[in-house]
Amino acid sequence: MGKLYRIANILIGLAIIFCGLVLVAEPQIGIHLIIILLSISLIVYGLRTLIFYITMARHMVGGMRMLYVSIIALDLGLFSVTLLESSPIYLALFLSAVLIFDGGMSLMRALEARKLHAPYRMQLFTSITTVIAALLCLVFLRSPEALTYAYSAVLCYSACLRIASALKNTDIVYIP
Amino acid sequence: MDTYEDQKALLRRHRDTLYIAGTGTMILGLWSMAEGGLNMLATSSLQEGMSTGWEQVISSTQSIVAMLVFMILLMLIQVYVGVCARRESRGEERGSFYLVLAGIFVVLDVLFIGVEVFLATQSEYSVDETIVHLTISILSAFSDLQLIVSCLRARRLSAALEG
Amino acid sequence: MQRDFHYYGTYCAASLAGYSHEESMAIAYSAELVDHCSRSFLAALKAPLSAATTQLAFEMANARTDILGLQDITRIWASFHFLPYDLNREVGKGGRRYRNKYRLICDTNGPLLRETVRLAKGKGLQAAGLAVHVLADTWAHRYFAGTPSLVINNMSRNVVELVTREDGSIDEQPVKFRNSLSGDDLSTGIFTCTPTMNSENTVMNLGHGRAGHLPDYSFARYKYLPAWAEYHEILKDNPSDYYKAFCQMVYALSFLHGSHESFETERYATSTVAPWEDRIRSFLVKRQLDIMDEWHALATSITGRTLEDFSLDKYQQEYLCASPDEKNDTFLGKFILAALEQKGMVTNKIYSSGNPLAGRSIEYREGAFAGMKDYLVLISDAARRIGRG
Repeated sequence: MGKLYRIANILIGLAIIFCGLVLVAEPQIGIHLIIILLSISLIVYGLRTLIFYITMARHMVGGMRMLYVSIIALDLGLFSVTLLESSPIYLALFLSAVLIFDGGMSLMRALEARKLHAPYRMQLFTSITTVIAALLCLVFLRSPEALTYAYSAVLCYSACLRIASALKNTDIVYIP
Repeated sequence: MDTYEDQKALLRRHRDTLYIAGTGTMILGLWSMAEGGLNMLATSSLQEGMSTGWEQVISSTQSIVAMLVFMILLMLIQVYVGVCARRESRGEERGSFYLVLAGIFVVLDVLFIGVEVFLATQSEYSVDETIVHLTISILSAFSDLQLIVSCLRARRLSAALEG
Repeated sequence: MQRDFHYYGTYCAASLAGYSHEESMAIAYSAELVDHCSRSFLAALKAPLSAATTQLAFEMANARTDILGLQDITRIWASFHFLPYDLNREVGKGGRRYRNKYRLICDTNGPLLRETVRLAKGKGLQAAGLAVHVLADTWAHRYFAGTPSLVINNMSRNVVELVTREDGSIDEQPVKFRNSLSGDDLSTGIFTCTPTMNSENTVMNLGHGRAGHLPDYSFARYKYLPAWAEYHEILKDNPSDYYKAFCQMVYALSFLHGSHESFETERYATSTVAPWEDRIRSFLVKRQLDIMDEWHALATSITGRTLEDFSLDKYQQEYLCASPDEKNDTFLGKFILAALEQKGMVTNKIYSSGNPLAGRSIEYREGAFAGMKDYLVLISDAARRIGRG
């Protein structure tokens, strides 16, 4: 991992920890903040991918995937915005669904990497952490404050993992 | 497309499109069901039930459960269509039943789009929710249509190349 | 290509072209040095960093992927390892950004190859070695571009290797890719490649990273769908391509040696290589991670001499101990000059074609003094050559 990339990862990790602490400080609005950030990131990602598809990827073999990914991400982001007026229980359910999907995909990638004798442990830890976060959302469904605390704990844990991985000596896969 | 290689390239393109459209149909089916389910759970009777106890949930949501079952059925059909499309993209023979189902979904999606646009003109209807539903409906219709067109083109080309 | 071809293969080609053993060693060393002359290498020598002909793995990891960073990456890789085929190619699709990337696709026998070889004429053994490295890589790395690009350098995962069985029949074996440093496993057909990243400008989508080392194995014959090819399948026949590359290297080196007046593309010294053809073809198809021993044995058969192994620090002391005025006359000094010329030429051609991907370029021979001071040495060197000639 290059120096710049390490520094960026450490800073991102610290920023995530800061966000976790903000959520702990304001648990009543915590879940709404989480959903707002999620929706903004999804909408931005969807729009960027859509523009990339229109300008470049439509000429690429298999580029049509980008269109589907962009529209689904955009829709998910817009859908998240519509949830803000709903009850926190509903938000918790949605967040749990998103996290389970994300954790499931990570787990599949980790298992595939393991099958091909490639490094998989970090991916596996990330997927387990995500699924735990999803389950915590379900467990604390009726208590948005408790959910916020639980989610913050998971957020800080994944940030620590990111910082630890940035400090570790790693090799990159690069073909000269 | 004149040369044999050009035709083979076109066949690969159609099969790849079929694969992607099939995958898209599956994912959209799952997502539509998840979105619809979450929307229904957000209705006031169920929310009220969830905040007071599970017994009231069961007693007050018979129609919602029926709707959920219907949605799951639709989702399973879409997944079936998607799986058939993906298998056909790899060269397996899959019959035409799934294409008929895809065609029905296209019609349903177009009808749904029409209804959404009509309802959107009503002042009390939420614009952001309309955009969300329309986006997925349009993509779903596009995906199913693309699935049918690419499947038929791939079959025609495949027959021509074998002949 | 790997060391077996760039070092030992180049030595064989230079010997067949008429160079002596010592000259062939110098050419071979220079050809191999192109894969090692990174900024770190040059920094240790306090040499001009602009002469870098490659980027090491950790340099790539640290590389910026903003506009300037991408231009820097493109200048190095397009100049030395992925020489663009036709900078004015009619693309027929896509916007300007797509067309600029498409036009950097590497292929054999392009106009830039002619320029590269002609540029090396009269410039010494180091320039000759550098030129034939670029020439050889146009065969191995064809169909990929020396700029990070998902839409050009990506490929479908349905890669099929054509493996010839002992009875002569051909087996189509699916190639499996993984993203780890475990290395390639030829027995199971699992190869390492860069991870899938949907970002257009990530360095993971540079060159043939997505194909792993497949293009660099002389035995590999495989079919795949490049991202840019509109679903047309490409058959990459490395044994055949590598043999043609070798014949073309002999032809190019014959030109540089003065055996004939001009260098043209699509010409190969097949008659010169013919006595060794069966032997070369037999070891090019050997399913091994490298064939250094085979090339070495061929070299010994051609010249009766044994080659010393490639050693990166062979000429470093000479360069370090030379005075500033004498550095350009050392082995590495000459190589550095050749690298600067090649990079300057290719960058200028790319820029002149209206493609901004390699950054701005000036025509230093026309007397402009703006630009990187590293390149000013080429003006004084050109003046010195004119003075001598």
